[in-house]
Amino acid sequence: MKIHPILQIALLAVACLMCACQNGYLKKAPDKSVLVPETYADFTALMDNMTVFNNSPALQEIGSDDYRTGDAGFTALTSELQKNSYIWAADIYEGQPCPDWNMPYQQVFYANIVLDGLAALKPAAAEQESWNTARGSALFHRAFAFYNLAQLFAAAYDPASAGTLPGIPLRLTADVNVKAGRGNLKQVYDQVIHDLTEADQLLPGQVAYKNRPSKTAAEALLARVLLSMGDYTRAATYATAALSRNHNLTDYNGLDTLAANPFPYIPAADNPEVIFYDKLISYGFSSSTRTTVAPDLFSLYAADDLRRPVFFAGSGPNTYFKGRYTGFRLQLFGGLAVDELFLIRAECLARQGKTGDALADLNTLLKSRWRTGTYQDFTVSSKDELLKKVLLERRKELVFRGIRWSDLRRLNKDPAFATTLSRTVAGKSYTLAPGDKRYLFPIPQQELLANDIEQNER
Amino acid sequence: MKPLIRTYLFLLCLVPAIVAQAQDNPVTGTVRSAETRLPLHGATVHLKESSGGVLTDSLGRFRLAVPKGQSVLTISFIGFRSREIPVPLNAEPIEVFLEPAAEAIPEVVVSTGYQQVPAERATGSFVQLDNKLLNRRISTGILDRLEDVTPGLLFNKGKSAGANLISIRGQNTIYGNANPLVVLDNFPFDGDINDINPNDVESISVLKDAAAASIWGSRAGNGVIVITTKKGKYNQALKIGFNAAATVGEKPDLFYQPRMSSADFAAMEKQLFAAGFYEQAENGYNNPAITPVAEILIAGRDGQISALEADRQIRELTTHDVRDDFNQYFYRKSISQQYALNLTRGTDIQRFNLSAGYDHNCDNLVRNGYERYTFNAGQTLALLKKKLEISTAFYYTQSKTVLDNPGTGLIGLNSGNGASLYPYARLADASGNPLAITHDYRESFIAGARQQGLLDWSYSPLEEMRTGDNRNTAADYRINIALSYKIRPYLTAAVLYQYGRSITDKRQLQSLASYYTRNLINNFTQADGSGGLTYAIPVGGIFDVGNISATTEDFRAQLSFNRQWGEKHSLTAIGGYELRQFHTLSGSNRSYGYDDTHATALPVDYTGYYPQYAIPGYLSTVPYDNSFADLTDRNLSYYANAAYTFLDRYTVSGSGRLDRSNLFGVKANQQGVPLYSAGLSWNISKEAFYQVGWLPSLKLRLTYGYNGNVNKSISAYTTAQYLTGNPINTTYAEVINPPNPELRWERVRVINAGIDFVGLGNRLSGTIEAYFKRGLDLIGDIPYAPSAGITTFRGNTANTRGHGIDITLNSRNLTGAFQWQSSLLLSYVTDKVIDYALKQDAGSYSSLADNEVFPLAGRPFYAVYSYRFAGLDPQTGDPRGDLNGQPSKDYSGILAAARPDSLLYNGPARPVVFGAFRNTFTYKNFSLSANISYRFGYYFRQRGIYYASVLNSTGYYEGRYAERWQQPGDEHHTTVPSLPASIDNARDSFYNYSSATVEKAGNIRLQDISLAYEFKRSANRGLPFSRLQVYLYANNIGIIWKATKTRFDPDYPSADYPPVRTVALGLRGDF
Repeated sequence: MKIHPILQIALLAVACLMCACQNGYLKKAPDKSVLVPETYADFTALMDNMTVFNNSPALQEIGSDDYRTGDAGFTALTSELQKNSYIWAADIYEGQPCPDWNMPYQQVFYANIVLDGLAALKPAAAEQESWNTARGSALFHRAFAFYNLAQLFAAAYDPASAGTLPGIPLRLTADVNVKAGRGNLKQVYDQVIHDLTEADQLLPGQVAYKNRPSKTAAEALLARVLLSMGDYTRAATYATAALSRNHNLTDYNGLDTLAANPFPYIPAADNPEVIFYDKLISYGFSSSTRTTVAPDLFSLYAADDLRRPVFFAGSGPNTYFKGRYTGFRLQLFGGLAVDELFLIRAECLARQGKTGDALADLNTLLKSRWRTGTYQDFTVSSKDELLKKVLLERRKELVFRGIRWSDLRRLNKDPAFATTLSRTVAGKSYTLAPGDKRYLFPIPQQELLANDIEQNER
Repeated sequence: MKPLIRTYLFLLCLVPAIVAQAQDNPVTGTVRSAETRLPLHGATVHLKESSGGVLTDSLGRFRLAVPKGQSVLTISFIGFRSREIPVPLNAEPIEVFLEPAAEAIPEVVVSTGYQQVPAERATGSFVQLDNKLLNRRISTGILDRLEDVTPGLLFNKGKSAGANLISIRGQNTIYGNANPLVVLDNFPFDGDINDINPNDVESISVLKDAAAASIWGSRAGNGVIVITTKKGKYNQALKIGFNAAATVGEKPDLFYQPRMSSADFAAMEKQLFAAGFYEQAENGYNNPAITPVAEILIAGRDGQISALEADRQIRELTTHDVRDDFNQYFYRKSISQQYALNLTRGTDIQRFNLSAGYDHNCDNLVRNGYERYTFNAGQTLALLKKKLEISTAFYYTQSKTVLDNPGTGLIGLNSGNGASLYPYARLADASGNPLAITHDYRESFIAGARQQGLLDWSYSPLEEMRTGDNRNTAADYRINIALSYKIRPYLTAAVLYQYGRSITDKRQLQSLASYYTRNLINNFTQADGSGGLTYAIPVGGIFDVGNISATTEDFRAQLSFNRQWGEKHSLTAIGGYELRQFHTLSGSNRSYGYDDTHATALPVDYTGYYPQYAIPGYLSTVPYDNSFADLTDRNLSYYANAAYTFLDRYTVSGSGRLDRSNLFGVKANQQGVPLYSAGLSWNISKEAFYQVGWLPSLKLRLTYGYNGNVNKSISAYTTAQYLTGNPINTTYAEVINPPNPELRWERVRVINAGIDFVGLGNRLSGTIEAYFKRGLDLIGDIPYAPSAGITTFRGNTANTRGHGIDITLNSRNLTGAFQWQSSLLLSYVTDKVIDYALKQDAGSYSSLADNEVFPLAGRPFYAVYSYRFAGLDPQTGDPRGDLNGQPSKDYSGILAAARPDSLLYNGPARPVVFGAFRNTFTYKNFSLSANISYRFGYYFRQRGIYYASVLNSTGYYEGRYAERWQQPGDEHHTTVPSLPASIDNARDSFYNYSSATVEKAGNIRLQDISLAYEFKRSANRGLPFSRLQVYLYANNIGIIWKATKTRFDPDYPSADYPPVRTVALGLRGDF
């Protein structure tokens, strides 16, 4: 078939047009808001996702002894998860997914995406700081998540048994197809401390918003982790390092004790005492008007202790907690703050017999909590009495922050401080003795179905 | 003239004229229909003065030796007017156009959007709907007119079916787009389907199997609906057509769904009050609203009114049913008006069409409506000895939708919660003035706020509706340009281009009269205690605007080949290249403190956290509603299709297409997805051995091939989406997709076998088709260990299987003065998920809503599952289930023990057998047509009862309360359990999702009746028009039979009301 010359030219032109179009025509992004994360801005944006990060487990708070709920409140709890956690039932989830497991692992996944992405970048000199901050932040978030998981799903740390007790799956890559077993507890804490130590080197001293980790946050978290391991020397070192950067304590005399939210809303506003912002996963129990403070806890506060009106409202059996460091009704604080550092250091020093320094820390903290002029500096005769006092103040200060569970697990090993928890629901009483197997939450069924790991016996 | 045209064409880089080549005697040429320009096969060409002649081949061609002295050719063909033409003096091939004779039998030609295929030579499964059938139903939208006249096409009805309204031969995707592709005059139509005026539509082809649809490749997986608009014809005198119709719809039946009666509701409030239920609200920190009867009881308890007075007030309140107010003030009869005018004309070298339409609909909801203007113009020029055709077309649609009336579904005690409504709410006083109802806050709180100087906090649904100001306007235009050049008589090159743009503007003003605005401003108001107020949101209206602008560009270059060799062989083929871009830009924006008189707004602080006046301890930022999106969809495709016919009996067809798109970073996409089909047809009745007298025409067809589907929501790489609204006011990102390097496009394999026949003296004709479908590599979820950071993984993990039968039978039962024609459509379709790894907990399956899919291997996509119901306990009225084979009332135990596989599988949730039976009677100028539709083999769940709602004083929707078990013996006539002493969620869940609430959905309904009277000029010579038809059309007439004994329309068990009956009166004519 003979084709007319002009037609040939025309066909050729169309053919060229087709080729020209193919380069780039199909590379256009289908949605401008969707991208493959690969820049520092993308990584920062991923870690500014506060529906993923800045959330910590909360079921352990339901299981500990900060709060109490009556039969009506128990019935009104919106999920079996909460009810079962409250009564330490053998099966917590009844087949439902467990946010306290899923969310920290989602944080690990995000952090690993950042870490894997950063590994592929070769930062120029001018970008080194961004690279360091991003890597330090991701390591911090991953370590925080691993530590939180270990508090619920693995045994309390003990140097003697850590090498043999199962830990939690340590996911160190974003590849979702890589499976991870439980390993042992030592590996978990080694990883957490390794990551945090590196983060401490990389992170900046100051951050614009407190949902982002800082050097102080890395040190404060190290202090918390080491305390939970019973490594009081190093815990004190890191508490001191963090306190050297931030030792702001809010003077409670300046707070409006009648306010529904006595503390400013962070991270939007600032609370100088807060080092790192984190909230506990929101469960109905934390916002229910039927959730009250445990009466034996409330009775510990003296009349001139401003924590009494700042932390609590309501009256009699209806006294409830409102002193959230998040400054927001629906969210309990789960982050790091200066008061905890003073208490960590005071405890470590007291255990080391450095009574004077320990007392100084304790009195500094309490002075900011009591009505002006009413606080009498605490003096002490024995090491034991001091430790008892420090732990009592720890109990009173760090309420409704998700910390109590770890403290119970750690302190229950010492008969002097062991506590048996008990509660009554619908006429039936429940107890949780020190060292009970139920101090370990079961691994959720969804995990076991897809990952062949050992279940916690309860 | 000629040189000028040549220059014009040259500038366009288009094909030039072909220099004709001299040929010897005999005469050669082509015979075509003047109307469609398609070749006529089998036309007789002979010399007037002699008896010898020849027939044209399948391409309309003939070759005839002309002895000297002969000068006139006669060309004739059945259904066309014969023509005589002089024998040409030179030997150039001639083209002869035959005008159709009046009342000619139309040639059935189906359009695929790429080519016109004579039905006789098609191998695939096509359904062709002509203008007459489409006009049988009166509607604003075109798709409605496919219902009950298209075999295999199912309308998924019900409250939540909107998203995937139509399915063709079942569903073949889980998370992909499940809608059929709509093609409008050659190109895919992605706009609002309501922008197409049905009066402009000439015909619709529905492409069902792979051979028919695979030319559309990766978009053909759900079937293709090809809409062809009216065009002018060559050599046709001016034709003016018009249509005017008014449709009146009944007021909806608001009593269709049972609701808890006012008396029952008040009695429950008394019971709850006695149990101290309202104390929590009375002492609540956020002053929640308390229902009026409970307020009266509180006043009685506190001694503010006497017990007698309290009783009197309660009695007075509860004589009322709020639905009477809804009926009176919110609803009305609907009226839809439709006017359309259409002009077409053609000369030998030019044809055009011009049409305009206007629709005005007044909705059932008072104040709501829709208005549409459409305008179409198209022209085609035949130049260069008709070798070149230049077509241009312009479509314009403008519409306005008024949504001032938000409906009654969200009116309640609490904002946005229709279930919280108390049934004795009064919306208006005796003279029709709006009344406030108790809403969100207690009256004492509202009064306190008023004293503080805050805005009035009361809520009146009627006032809301009357002051609503919410409308969307849309403009849509498309410009089409097509050039086609006949390089050789058998080879045509064409270039087509379409540019389309649609602009939608949404505008909602919530003035200070609206509760939403007052509530928001009040909550962001801070009182300093000494009368001073500061407003975080300025006092004024809230004005939301949004716009979506969608641009489509389509380009296509195509070569078409159409040739016959001798008498035996004929080949038609097309091949082409296509580019398509669909770009959407959208944005929305909110302004506060809006003053509509002066069009001014005031700034607000979006970043500060403000305490909420009504919710102590709660902080919030001012709602920030600005958003933008920029989406681009690009496709690049190559396609080809060929059909070879041997001896007019055997046709082999093949079709292939390669699609590539800008789907985000898919590795597989670099190769694209090749989709192909192959088909065979055998016109057995043309065989010499075929001697079945009663069945003179019989054709067998068989096709095999693949169609595709795209899911653009997932990607091969880790992708993240930028979002706004975190507490530190930075943008943040969310991972939406873990990496998936194995990602592939979904495919559907289809095998189709069909028989077409005509028999019994042309009285019976029909098509029977059977098909087998296999969904391959469907995107589905599989569970993942949550420690991976994801709980489910979406990938090509699912496979499905389906098969079915479509039967169409048309019969002419009576002919003569009284005519009776019947059409029977029967479709059978089943689908089954074969591979699906993810199993949800049993409760997810039993509580499926009618639009939800949780695929379960071995079951249909849409299915009804339930817990086994073992009757009510005759002593207590408690529902009983089955636990370990024993009747049990351990509801938590039953729920916990249930597994997806142990649930009772009731059956499919969508019809397995469906179709319609249409009868048309004609007597003289009268015609009457009635369509009966039927659907069988599926199940629905009716609402049970949620005692948790009843016992929470939010039982308005629990209309079956009246049917509950109250005393021994009731278990014989009800399955609704007794009122429990306290809330038992497990008991509610068990009963509501037990087999007691599952019903068979099979039904037969008289869908519509059409009655017409036609005036014809042929009968009355004086008439100014050639044809005028007056018609009456009634739709949604009623259910003739249903399997369920419940009150519900099985296709609308959860709708507020079923579709209303409508009656249309219209006039249609041609000048």
